[in-house]
Order: sequence, then C-alpha cells, then structure tokens
Amino acid sequence: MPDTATALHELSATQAARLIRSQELSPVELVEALLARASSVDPRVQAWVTLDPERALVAARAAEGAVTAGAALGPLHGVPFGAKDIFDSEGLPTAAGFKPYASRVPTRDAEPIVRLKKAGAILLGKMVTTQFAYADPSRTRNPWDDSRTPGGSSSGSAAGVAARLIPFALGSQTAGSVLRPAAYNGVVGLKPTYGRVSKRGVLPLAWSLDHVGVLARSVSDCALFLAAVAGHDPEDPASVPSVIAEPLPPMNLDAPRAAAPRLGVVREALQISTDRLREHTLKVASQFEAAGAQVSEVSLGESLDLILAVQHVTMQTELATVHWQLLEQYPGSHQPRLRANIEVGRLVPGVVYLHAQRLRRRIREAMRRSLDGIDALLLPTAVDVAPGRETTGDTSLQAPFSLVGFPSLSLPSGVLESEGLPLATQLVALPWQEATLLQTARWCEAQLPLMPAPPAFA
Amino acid sequence: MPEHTDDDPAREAVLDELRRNAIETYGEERAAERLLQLLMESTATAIWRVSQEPIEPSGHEPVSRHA
Repeated sequence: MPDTATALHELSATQAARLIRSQELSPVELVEALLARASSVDPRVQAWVTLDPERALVAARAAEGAVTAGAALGPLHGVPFGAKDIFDSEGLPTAAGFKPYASRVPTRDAEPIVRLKKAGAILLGKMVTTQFAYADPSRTRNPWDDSRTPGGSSSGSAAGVAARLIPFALGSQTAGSVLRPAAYNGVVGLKPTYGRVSKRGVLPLAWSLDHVGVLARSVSDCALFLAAVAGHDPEDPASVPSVIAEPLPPMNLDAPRAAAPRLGVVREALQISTDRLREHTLKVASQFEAAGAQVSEVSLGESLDLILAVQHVTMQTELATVHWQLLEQYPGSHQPRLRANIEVGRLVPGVVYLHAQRLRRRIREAMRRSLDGIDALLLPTAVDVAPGRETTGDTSLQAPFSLVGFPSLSLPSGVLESEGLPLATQLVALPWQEATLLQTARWCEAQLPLMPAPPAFA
Repeated sequence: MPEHTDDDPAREAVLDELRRNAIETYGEERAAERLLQLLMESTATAIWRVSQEPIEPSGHEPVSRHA
C-alpha cells in the first residue's frame, strides 16, 4: 500500500502505475476510491457526465489478476482515466453536450481510448465538455473558486483532475481547450504536434485545428500518456505517417539533463497579458535563469493580430462546414455562441479561407524561425487568471500554437495569493519535438513549487 | 481577436457585405440579434485583416500540411 498519508485519489498516474506494478496498490481499491470520491465531491464540481463503475471494476479485477499472475503489464496498467465527452466510447453515451445525441451510444472506442486501454489504463467514465467543444460555458465548476470558469472546452477533464476525481483525462484543443483549462485549474495540460495522435472517433469541431491532448498532474504523466497514444493511424486522414512524423524517442524525464534548457520569452505575449501575468511570467523566467537556463527574448515573427485573424477565419469556416447541416437538422439544439458562429462562418468567402491558409504556412515558417537555437518558447498560458463563469476565457495565447500545430504544454507555476487562483506558464517546441518539450517542462517543473490541490478539495 | 479599426472603409465594406448576406440567408430578425451582430463585427475585422495581408503568388500552391 502507498504511504498511508497519501489518499488514493491524490496519486498521479505515474505514481499509481508504479505502485500497481510493484503490487503495493490494488487497481480495484484505486477504482473504488475514485468512485467514492466521485460520490462525495462531484456534486460540487460537476466534472463527470457518465461513470461506468461496473465495467471499470471488471477491468480493475482483471488488471489485478494480471499483476498477481506476473503477466506482461502495459505502462498504464490499472490506472483509471476519464475521457472528454466528444471521444466515442463503446457502450457508453457520447453526446458532446448536444441533447439530440443524448442516447448516441458508439459501438467502438475512439482510437486514443483504444490505445490507452492497450497500455493497461481503465476508462472510469466520460467528462463534461462544452457543447461540441466550443465556447458556450458548461455546468462544471472551477474547484479553486466556483464563481470562476474552469475554462473550456475540456472543462470536466481539467476540473476533475484538479479536484482529484481522476489522475488524468483526455481533452481536445481547437483554439485553447486543453492548455487554458489546465491553467485555470492548476494542472498540467499537453497538446502534442498536429497529426501525432489519432482523432478517429473524436467528434470534430474544426478539422485542421483539432488536437487530442491530456490533462494530468505532472509532466511525467503527460509523457506516459503520449507514449501510449502517439503513432500513425491509417483511419485518421490527419494522422501523419511515421515516414514524416519524427518518432517519439524513449523518455526518461528523471534522468539528469546534460544542460539547463534554452528558453525564449515571447515578446508579443507579454504585450497582451495583464500586468500581473506579465510580472509573474518574468519572475518565473528569472527563476529559471537563476537555476541555469539560458533565457532570451524572442518574437513570433508575425504580428499577433494577423495570427489571430487567420485562426478566426480558419476555425469559423471549418466549424460552419462541419456543423451547418446538423444545425438545420436539429434547429434549436445548439448553444447560442456555437449557433451564431456556424451562421456567420457560412458567410465567410471561400477565397478568404484559402488566403488564410496561405498565410498560415507563412506564419508557421516564421514561428519555426523564432525557435532557432532555443528549446522552447516561454509565455503565459493565458492573459490572466480564470475569469467569471459567463465565459470560458480568452484563447489569444493558446490559439497561435493550435493554428501552426506546434506542441505546447501548460505548467502550473504558482498561486495568485490575492485571489487564491492558479497561475500558469506555457512552453512551446518545434513540431515533433515533444521529447524536448517534455524534458524542458520537467526541468522547469522541478524549479517550481509543488502545486497544491485546491484548498476545498485537498 | 484583432483590434478593429472602425473607421477603415475596407473593413466597413466587409461588415456591410456580411450584414447583407446574413439578412438574405437568415432573415432580418435573426440577423439583427445582438450575438450575431457582435460576431459579424469580429469576423469582419478578421476577414479585413486577412485580406489586407499581401502574399506573393507561389505558382504551385502546396497541399495543406499542418506541421
């Protein structure tokens, strides 16, 4: 058994996997502890849409049997996870917050779920999403302050991980829907390179921007996740074949680094952040520099207003293309912001969308150059701490990296004492350089104070 | 969202076009709703900003690759 001082719901995915492997923790006890946690805590957080206790316990008993029998174990053997409710799950409703889909029960798991199960993980249930992963706020509460948004669209995944309802959860990001909720809830969020993780069986919002990602409690958890789900999938047209995608090398994040990382603080991001986020980011950068990192100031190479205009046109046109027939089929079922975006998106001229794609290539090359000679960009994840519940927050500092498909990660980097809300720092690396990103993030994580659980959920 | 320049005639022309199309497609009542109006404002700014940006014709346009 783990240290009796550590409640089972406090375990990260990495810790739980290690304890299960060494037979110090029973996967059945872990699943039972998380189901009990859901009963006591979720009425306040509202992170779960559907729990699957029966099948999770069956899988946990099988996992326990495999450990006892000395069978070969996957890297996430016996570790429970949640999935945002846009990931198809065999035998469990997948509704994406859309009432006409309330009884939509897929017959096949989405590919990321398939791969996590192959790695030994156990699906505990589905987590709240904003409708179709867009920007209309969900019912989920921020565990740090229930008058604030948990962010979106992966609101249930982020709040659930923060409130210790689940060690890690699948999320998705089209503009900023993994990293921003991670920041607002004080957890780690990873969005890998576009094409690294299959989207087969994941309900789309805007196909050239949609990424699968993860919300977790440590950088090591993100590495475990990525190793399990990465790789080409011929059933997903956006999945990049391994002849193009650089392979993910084996990662030992706890091995000592040969050198401290080289970090580039993004000038444009500081210019649009609030004073307190700018000051926090500069303080974090100074702290890293004092610990040996090489810190310089860099520019994205294109103006942020152009980058965000290209992202706006791309996302709005694609989401309108994906959803306009559904809007006509089920009138009155879409949330107000999503509906309005579909309607306006239909009016964007085709030549403007295509011109935006040409500019997007130019922006991508400029951003590549901004990473010359450094390991990662460093910037605030969001322009400020979590705002009120009428919004899911500002995407301006996450969306640029969804637009270009570069891997990005949000790291909790402190608590704003005056408001008791988490602060976060974002790291971004070149495409296919997730190993560099994760190693850099692990080094940064080690320099920062450990992020506590939200006080009401500790 | 890019900061818009309310008095830029090119942006105003984009917004007028969006409003005309919205009335034609969704009717006057829906097109006049606040959320749609606000969104047409920000979309007009984005379209205007994208359209303003010159780019050299590259001859063979590459097929979109994302990373």
